[in-house]
Amino acid sequence: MNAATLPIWFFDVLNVVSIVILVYFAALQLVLFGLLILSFFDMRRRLAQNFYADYEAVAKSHFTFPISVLVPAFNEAKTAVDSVRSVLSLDYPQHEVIVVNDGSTDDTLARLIREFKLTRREAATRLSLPVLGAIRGIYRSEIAPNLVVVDKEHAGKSEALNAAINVSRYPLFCTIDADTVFQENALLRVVRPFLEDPDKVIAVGGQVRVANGCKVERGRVTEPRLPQNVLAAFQVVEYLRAFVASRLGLSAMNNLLILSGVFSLFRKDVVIEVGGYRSDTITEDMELVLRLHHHMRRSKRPYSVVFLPDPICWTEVPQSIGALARQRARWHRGLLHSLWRHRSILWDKNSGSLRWIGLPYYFLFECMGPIVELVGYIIIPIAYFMGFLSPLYFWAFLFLSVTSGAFLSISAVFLEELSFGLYRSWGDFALMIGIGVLENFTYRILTLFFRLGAVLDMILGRGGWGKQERAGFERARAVPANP
Amino acid sequence: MIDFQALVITLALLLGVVALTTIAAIANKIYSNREEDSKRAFLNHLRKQFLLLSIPEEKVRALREIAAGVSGRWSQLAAEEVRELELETRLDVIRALEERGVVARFLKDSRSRLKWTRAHALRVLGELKVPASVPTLLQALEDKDPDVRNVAARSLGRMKLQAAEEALVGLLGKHEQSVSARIAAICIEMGPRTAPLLIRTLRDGTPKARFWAARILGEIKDGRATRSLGDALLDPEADVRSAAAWAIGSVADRSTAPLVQSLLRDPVWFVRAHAAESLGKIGDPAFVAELGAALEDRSWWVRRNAMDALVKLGDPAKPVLTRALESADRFARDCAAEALTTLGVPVVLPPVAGRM
Repeated sequence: MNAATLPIWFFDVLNVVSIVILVYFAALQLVLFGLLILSFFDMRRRLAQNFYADYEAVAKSHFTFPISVLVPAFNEAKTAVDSVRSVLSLDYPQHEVIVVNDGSTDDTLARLIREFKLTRREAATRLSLPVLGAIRGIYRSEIAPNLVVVDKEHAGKSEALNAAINVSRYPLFCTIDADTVFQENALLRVVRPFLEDPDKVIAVGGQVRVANGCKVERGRVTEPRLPQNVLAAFQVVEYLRAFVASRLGLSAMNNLLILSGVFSLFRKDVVIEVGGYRSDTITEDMELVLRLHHHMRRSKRPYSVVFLPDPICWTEVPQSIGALARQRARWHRGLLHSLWRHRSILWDKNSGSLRWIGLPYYFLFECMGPIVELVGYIIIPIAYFMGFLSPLYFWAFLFLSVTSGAFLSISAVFLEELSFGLYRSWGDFALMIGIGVLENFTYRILTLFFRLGAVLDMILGRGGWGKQERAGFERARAVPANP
Repeated sequence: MIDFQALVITLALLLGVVALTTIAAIANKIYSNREEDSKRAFLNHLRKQFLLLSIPEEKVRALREIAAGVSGRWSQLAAEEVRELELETRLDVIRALEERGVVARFLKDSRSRLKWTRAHALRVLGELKVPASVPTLLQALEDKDPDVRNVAARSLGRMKLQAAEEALVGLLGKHEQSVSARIAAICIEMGPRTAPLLIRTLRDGTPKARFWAARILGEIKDGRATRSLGDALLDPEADVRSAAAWAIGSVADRSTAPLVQSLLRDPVWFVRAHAAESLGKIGDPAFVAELGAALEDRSWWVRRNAMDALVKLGDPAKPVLTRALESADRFARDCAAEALTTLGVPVVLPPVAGRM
């Protein structure tokens, strides 16, 4: 095509699009850099607090709040027993574990019954929250008095969690996934913000790490290692970046809209006040946190949603492209859905910083990100190869997107080394640095397409949950360490 | 138009930052590995000095080395090690630290303008259990920074019996939950000797102090407090009434059961809930009927606690529970069924599916 035959307005449009993309990228990097700085200072403060914290005293204290740990399980036969054992053995003065078998079609319930000597019992449960899916039975353990297993018809994770809330006894509840393993003092760590400010703190989340490849013994990660599976290894760095470098910064401004359902602690009365988990959403954890923010700001009550940098639990991540694609598409659909549902925050004058920082950040950079990135990745090379764009601009764009991404990832690895330094081997460390650079050409583009697929699904009205295949910790354990 | 020069500069900067971050991360990794080695070496050296303390001709030199260790970069680690020593040896070490001005330095640091310097000094003083630092630690409970207050409370907790009980009881309820809970925990560890002070606080203190006094008295389980706790059941503050009701349950004196039972009609739900819980702990079967009625209370917690109390009462509660199976209230029926099942009485109710 000869550029001379094209109308002048085409060049103007191209120029404007190029500038918009560049400004967007620059703004995104600036915001992420700002969050990184905030994260750094917040991390320093929390690490110092940790250094002087006395978890032993909290564990022995007569005044530590009791916690109900809720474990929804749907076809988790491979991991449920390990996970429940891990939760039961958590170091905490008073906690109960409520497992909800959400109509599993595998032998999740049978394994739990066998392993924990469960017997079916009559149980008085309140109806604080309406629940879909009938309860088929409530079981108690002969060997673990603080374990309750609720067997119900399948109605989704939200309904399982609401049923567990109804059965729970304690004022704080913690949600976890059945495929999660914990640090021994995870509950002691995560409850600390509640002990420090019980009136204000309504929810606390902690850092989730990737369990694939780690050495797991008796429900505990004894040696954190990078997985051999390439996709899982990429996710190690991705999780670090998301948790350490972004959520911490948003939390410092009380604008954190996502607390991972893998491990979060909530004040039960406030969750019941807002109606519990909703089943008409895709990512119930994010939707609940958004609803809590909106509710508290609307009712003008002081509150905080806190994110702790402490690595408190380890979860299995997808190891195949298909599973990863389904997971990411689901997450992105959930994000879009939740933000759209709570869009009124943007014009609610009681929403404070949430309408200026939190929601715009997620709308502009998390939701719109894939679209703008794609436009950038398509339009700019086309324009370049058609000769409309200066080579300098083209290479500048590529370098900007790669180097800034690499900077954030390496910074996250650096922060992890500076703070917890869990990956002790030089091999793992070097690999994480390498991944920090490499992911910008590979993994990031891959997930971009998954997220774009989610946008397309939303437009076409398709949706639903992805299905993740669990390797189980036994298999994860068998994965040898990286050199 | 796009300013390419600016773009190139931005890129160069970014590349530079990426390179610097990578170098910093590597340097940090090397540094932290060396830190680990250095920490291990320090601990080995320190433990060797502890062993040398038993050799008279080496003692002076060992004490000098230990003092240098406590005042050095691994001061907290050293202080933790000193804490584990036998009393006599520890007192020797503390004397040496005082003579060499190490304790004075930490006392001075505890008044530093930098909050983490204050916190560090307080932590080390707490680990060392220096008796002279008690007033400083108590004073630090009034620090303007909550983190420092927390560390001071922690250190006082470490000192245990050496802390001044009167001052501690006087600070009850003055601070945020975490610090108050730590002070309360220290009072509990001190045991019955704080009871007279707590009884006085329960009578004359602020509402928050009265609340904490009741909670601690409940944990200490001191019979001398029964009368004051009984009076506190009529306190105008619901928090105090509830804590007193709970505490009386812990003391488990049957003479107080009628007083506690009257709180089952309290307008505040958590007072009623604690009253029900206490009646179960006291174990007086005279009040099974009242607990049976509490199964129909409008608050879930009261019902639940009444159910647990009836289970604790055992056989005398069975007739009341059996009657409750016929209650028009669904939850009362469910509670009765759960309680009877727990007591070994077979109960047939409709499937759970129909009840949730």
